[in-house]
Amino acid sequence: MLIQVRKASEVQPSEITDRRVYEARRDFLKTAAGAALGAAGFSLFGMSEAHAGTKLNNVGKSRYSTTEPPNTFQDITSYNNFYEFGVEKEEPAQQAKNFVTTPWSIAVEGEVAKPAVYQLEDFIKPHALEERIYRLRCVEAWSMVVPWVGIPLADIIKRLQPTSKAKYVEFVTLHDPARMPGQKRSVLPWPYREGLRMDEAMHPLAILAVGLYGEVLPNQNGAPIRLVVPWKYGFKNIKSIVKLRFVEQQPATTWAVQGPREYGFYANVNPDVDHPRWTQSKERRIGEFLKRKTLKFNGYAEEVASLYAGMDLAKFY
Amino acid sequence: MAIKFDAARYGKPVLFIVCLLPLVWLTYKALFLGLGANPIEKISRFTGDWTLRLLLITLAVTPLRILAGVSLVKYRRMLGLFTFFYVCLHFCNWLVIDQFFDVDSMIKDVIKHPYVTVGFAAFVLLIPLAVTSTNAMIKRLGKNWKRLHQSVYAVAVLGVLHYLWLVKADNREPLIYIVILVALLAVRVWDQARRKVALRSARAVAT
Repeated sequence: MLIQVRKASEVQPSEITDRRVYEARRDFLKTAAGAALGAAGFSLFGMSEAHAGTKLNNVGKSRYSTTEPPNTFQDITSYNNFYEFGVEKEEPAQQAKNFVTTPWSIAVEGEVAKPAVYQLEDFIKPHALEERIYRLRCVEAWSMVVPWVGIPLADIIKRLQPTSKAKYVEFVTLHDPARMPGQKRSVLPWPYREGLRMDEAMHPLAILAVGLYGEVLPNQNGAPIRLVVPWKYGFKNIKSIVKLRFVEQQPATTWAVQGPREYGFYANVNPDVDHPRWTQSKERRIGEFLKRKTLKFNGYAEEVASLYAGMDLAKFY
Repeated sequence: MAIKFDAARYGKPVLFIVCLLPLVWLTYKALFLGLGANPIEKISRFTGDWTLRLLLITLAVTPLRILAGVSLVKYRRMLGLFTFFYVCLHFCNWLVIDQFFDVDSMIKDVIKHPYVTVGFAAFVLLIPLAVTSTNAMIKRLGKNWKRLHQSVYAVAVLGVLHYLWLVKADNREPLIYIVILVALLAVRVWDQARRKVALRSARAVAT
């Protein structure tokens, strides 16, 4: 048809913004909005386009950071246990390349004042970002120092208002084999679950991390949001969280289900309690040649030992 | 025109080079591509994998003859010695690079942790097999040579258990090795039984 009849709602060609003007406006908004919303650390446009490499703004320092030098970005992002993207250490970096983390929602359920589903931005927005340079000790006896960027879990929990019945908080990872190809094999019972006792969750060391080296968390490190509890073995640090559930009973955790004699709920780093099949008294710090002696509670004994006073750590491994 | 491969002349040298290729690849990777964040673990894994593979290839020689009539027996010694070569690399990586001669800690490991116990036992059992691999030794030991070298079956079992008992959750690869090992042993057992039956019926006919 040569004569096109338009509906009233249709846009006129003359009304369509010139592409160059459109992009210039976006750039302006990025910088202006970013400056205005600096407190949240995410710019209005930065959030919707958040991807690894995007810088996080206004990240504060913390006295909980270690003075030990962090491992390289290359090492931290190429040596990962993240079975959702393959069981080999190098697989997550390759398999998680196209993992889309926006939009992302987090469900809060169980013993809370108002169970709800939050968009990630709204979950994080009220909080200031902090850099936490923490040791990470894998149960396999290797370790790294990682410069996370995150929010104290205690601050988030306070906002969610758990009831007096909440004795534990359970975390759940995304379960979507189409997006996480490693889940096509039941090498672990999916979805990945972890949990903390309430006093552990409220401890100032515990954070939800959203970044690494001052940038948005790379996919292979558990994007867009993961738990970091540095005094426990790495498998407690659940990645790509989609749910927080506040519960009365100690929740079942994935590795404890997979190997109850080998992996426990508490999983506190402890050189005096061996894994049944290998020793935990030493560890290989990635980048170092000689092995190091493993420290009780991964060197955070001063901060957390009181949580476990009187507890038989060989029994509650 | 097909090029004829003079196996009698070039077979062993070619096999020698082929068996060295994994080490060449590992060295190349170490020097030019990097071995990743945990190189010691990578080397351990690589040398362990090739020890097991060469061991199973060595054990496949007789089944291949039984099933396909192809005899590679003259290459078996070289394959066995390369198995020993890679297990030495694997052990040396543990002793020198991983543990840095912390013999005390290594002894504790061998005693306390079953996967290390069986691995170490497999290594130790391979030593007399390597030492007695020469023609002079074969002559000297006579009948006992065959008996001694039957311990390679125990080595194979210990080797796959070593692998199976160290993996955290993904036991797919160790299980594949176990299946292959069982199949190779099954062919021998079947062949033994078949020959016993044939012998019995031959004797029955004779009497």
